[in-house]
Amino acid sequence: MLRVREGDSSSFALLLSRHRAPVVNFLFRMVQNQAVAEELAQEVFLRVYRARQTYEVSAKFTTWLFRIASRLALNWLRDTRKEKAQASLDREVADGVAWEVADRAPTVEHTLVKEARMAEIRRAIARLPEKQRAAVLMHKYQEMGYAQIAGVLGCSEPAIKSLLFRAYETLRGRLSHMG
Amino acid sequence: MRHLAQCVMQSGDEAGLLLDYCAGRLSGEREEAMRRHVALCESCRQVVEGQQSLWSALDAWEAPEVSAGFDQALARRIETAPFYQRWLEYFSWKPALSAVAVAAALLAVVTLREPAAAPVPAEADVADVEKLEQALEDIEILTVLNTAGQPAQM
Repeated sequence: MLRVREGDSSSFALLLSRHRAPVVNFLFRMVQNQAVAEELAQEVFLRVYRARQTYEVSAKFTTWLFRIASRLALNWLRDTRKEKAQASLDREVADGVAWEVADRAPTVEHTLVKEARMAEIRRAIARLPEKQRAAVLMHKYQEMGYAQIAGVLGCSEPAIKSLLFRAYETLRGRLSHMG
Repeated sequence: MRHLAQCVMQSGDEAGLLLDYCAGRLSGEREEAMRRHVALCESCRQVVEGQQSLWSALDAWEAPEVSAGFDQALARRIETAPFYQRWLEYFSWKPALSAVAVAAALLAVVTLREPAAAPVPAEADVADVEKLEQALEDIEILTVLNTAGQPAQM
């Protein structure tokens, strides 16, 4: 990032290639929509690019990057909460239709069962409070440590440990039949 | 699954330690101590088993590939950013805000220390006073003339 600040455009390309997939994947799991995730990820990198002249090394770069990504995702979730409530009702109806055609061929059945399991996992994570959701996704899929997650979400490390434990406890309860 | 009373290892800092044990991130004495605890504590053993099966279920949730046109779309957004946004790239709010705060403080000090100036009469006020004086002079002259024109009374 310091080389990007000096005006080295190839460093920005390198930074993008290194962090593009983790940021998009994190945002996809947060908002559960690939088009929205990519739109938000572009906004993240646009902000990084704009802030390159004023960037100060006060924390790890990925902490700063995911702080921007988390804020954008949390704002998006807050802004679309009402629309999502309606959409989830529609999806439950759609899921019901999908279950009715499960007895065609083994491959179709297998695909449908897998899809149903994925839908259940997505729903269980989507129902977590937003901060717990962000913490679980960073811990499980980005393999971040407690200190870094605390830095991203602006909490203390012990608070993040408790928050994560509670979030996983909820998920264990909701998805216990999958084990 | 039978619900057991929550162990002290499942709150605060220790909860992080238990999660680290579930993820296989502990080593040496800490891992050994946790292994001994889990062997004795049924509640924590349930957590470890449940957590490992939860993580293996979550592993199945893969994110799709990033679109091929992602970088080009980003480059377009960077190029088409409005002029003021490109100018703002070189502008840091923190020093600007500090400068504004210092300027405001200086203005307040100067305003408070400057003595209040005597009110200067407006031009309209001066003209009114002159008219009034003129009117009084006219009344005085008329009074004198009236008095002079009247016949002397016996």
